Amino acid sequence: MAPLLEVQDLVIGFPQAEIVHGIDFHIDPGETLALVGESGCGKSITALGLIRLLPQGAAIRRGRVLFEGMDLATASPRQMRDIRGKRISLILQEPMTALNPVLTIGRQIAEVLRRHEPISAAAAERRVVELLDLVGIVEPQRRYHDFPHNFSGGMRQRVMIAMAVACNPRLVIADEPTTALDVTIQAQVLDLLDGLRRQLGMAVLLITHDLGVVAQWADRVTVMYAGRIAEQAPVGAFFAAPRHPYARGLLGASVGHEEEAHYTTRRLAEIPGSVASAAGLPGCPFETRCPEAIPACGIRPPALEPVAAGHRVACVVEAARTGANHAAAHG
Amino acid sequence: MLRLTVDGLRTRYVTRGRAVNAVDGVSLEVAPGETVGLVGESGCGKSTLGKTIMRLLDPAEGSIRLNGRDIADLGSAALFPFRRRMQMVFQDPFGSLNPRQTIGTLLETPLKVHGLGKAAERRRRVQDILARVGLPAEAAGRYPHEFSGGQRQRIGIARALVLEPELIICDEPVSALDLSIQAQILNLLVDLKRDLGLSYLFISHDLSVVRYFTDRVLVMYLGRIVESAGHAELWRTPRHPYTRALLASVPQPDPAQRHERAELRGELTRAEAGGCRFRARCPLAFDRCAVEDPALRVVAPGHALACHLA
Repeated sequence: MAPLLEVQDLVIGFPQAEIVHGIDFHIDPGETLALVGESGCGKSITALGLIRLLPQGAAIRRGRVLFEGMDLATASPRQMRDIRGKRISLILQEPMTALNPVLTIGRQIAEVLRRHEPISAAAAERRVVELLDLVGIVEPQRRYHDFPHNFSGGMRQRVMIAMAVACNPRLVIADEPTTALDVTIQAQVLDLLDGLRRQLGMAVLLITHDLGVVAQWADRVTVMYAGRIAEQAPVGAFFAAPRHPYARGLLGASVGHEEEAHYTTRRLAEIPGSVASAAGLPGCPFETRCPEAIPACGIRPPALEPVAAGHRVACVVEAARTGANHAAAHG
Repeated sequence: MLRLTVDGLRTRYVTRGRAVNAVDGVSLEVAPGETVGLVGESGCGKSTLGKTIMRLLDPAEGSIRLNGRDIADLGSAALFPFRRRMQMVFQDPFGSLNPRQTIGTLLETPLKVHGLGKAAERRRRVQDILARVGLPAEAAGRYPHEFSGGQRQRIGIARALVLEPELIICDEPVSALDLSIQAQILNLLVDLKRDLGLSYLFISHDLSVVRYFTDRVLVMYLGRIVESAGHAELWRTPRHPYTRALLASVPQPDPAQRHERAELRGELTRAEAGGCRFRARCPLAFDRCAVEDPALRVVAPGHALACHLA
């Protein structure tokens, strides 16, 4: 199966600093790929780069974003406008600021439809009411005329989802879609998005910092650290045995990982230091915090190497271990 | 040894002439050395409750007792000696530190206000407290913007500790932090509790954190405590339909445990007067729930519940 989207050696930077240092990944049709990492790792910039909505000053410096026979990294602004909202749509974290406060909900969704499809105003309104119903808004006909401030956070995120799926896109990019929501609402919203993914046959790029969300709703996971990919794996393999020391550290530091853990009996595993500790060093960006670092880690950033089917890791130590196991098994 | 006993506490906000009890008749106790978790969704009143106990907000009704002495109605002068014994750590390590003060000034100010020690002693105390929370001595001369989020939360904790309080109210102390930093701060809070004999009222919306970090848990919904139990008991046998839904909503970091989540209808909204305030979202609501507000009562040793079905 050909991938729906393929990112090759993508480099994104501001004039003063490079943020994303040449990453490769792909998204298959209909799957949910989670992009995970801590603040500042470059996950949101990567997502915005895919659809060329980078903040002022940031630009794609190198690499390709292949989607439906086109390279989005070099597509014209006009081509991008035809793709955004129609073939690829975006759901942001904060639905209050993503919606226009002075337009009714219905009109904002209808605008997406009318931009991309030859459809009359009356037909667009009918379609929007159907969409509101689809995302579980009660009394959609009446709510069509409401403004964003009439909706709660969870309802606004449902509206964002309606807008995102209005033109039946092939890919929905959801950037921390539930981080601003309560946990009971989070489950409702992610279940809704997942149901629509199946129903409409679209793929989802789910950007999150929450490993619980990854385990529950993603098919594959890509872990980013300091602008590079540390590990890529199917979720089952990842949670069973993460291979990158950073991924292992994250899972160990996560309080929900061992259900019975309590402060009276077990200390949480810490990842010492902070992301900034390796700034300016030539080697692996995780080297200064890594419990397994060896001198070879300080030479250059490690390449992302396959360790099992669909499982790749950027770690010198792990690659050597896999190579040794492989040699032992086949030697 | 400090025991906090809150009884029948109400905090009222008046907006556009309409009064809303954000905290609506809460009773709770934090024993010396105990860590009590307070969980609930945004808007349930948990932060308001914390600030009212701290007397940063004025209660409308009820009592807040520290070792039996009611501080709910004390004026600021009478309250002054009690402030030392109870301190607060806030969620946002960016917004809660004055950007124009060095860390040294920021930590020394509470000591000055309370007239503790001479200048040299105060500076020594600041150095001690910095070491205690894992910051270097030279941090005293630097400004908040020079520190990362995790380090700022260490500063927030240092400021709460500098007066040697016995109880700390932590309002979402790790919610703004990245996962790898969360673990560092939680471990620090555990160490401080063990070494200094602190008790905590730990306010959080993150159930995994509360499960790990607390001895006893209070579940709050629309201004009320709806369930309270020991941490192990609560996760083993949650009894309130809201608690059950809340626990079931937490996404487990284990793909083998994917399950159909208990659908909780709707969102937190102010119910019309009378009856149980959870009934509009409750899958088990029946006619009695609409007419009679369930009181919090003990259903098993150490386990209290506000539900007609228990």
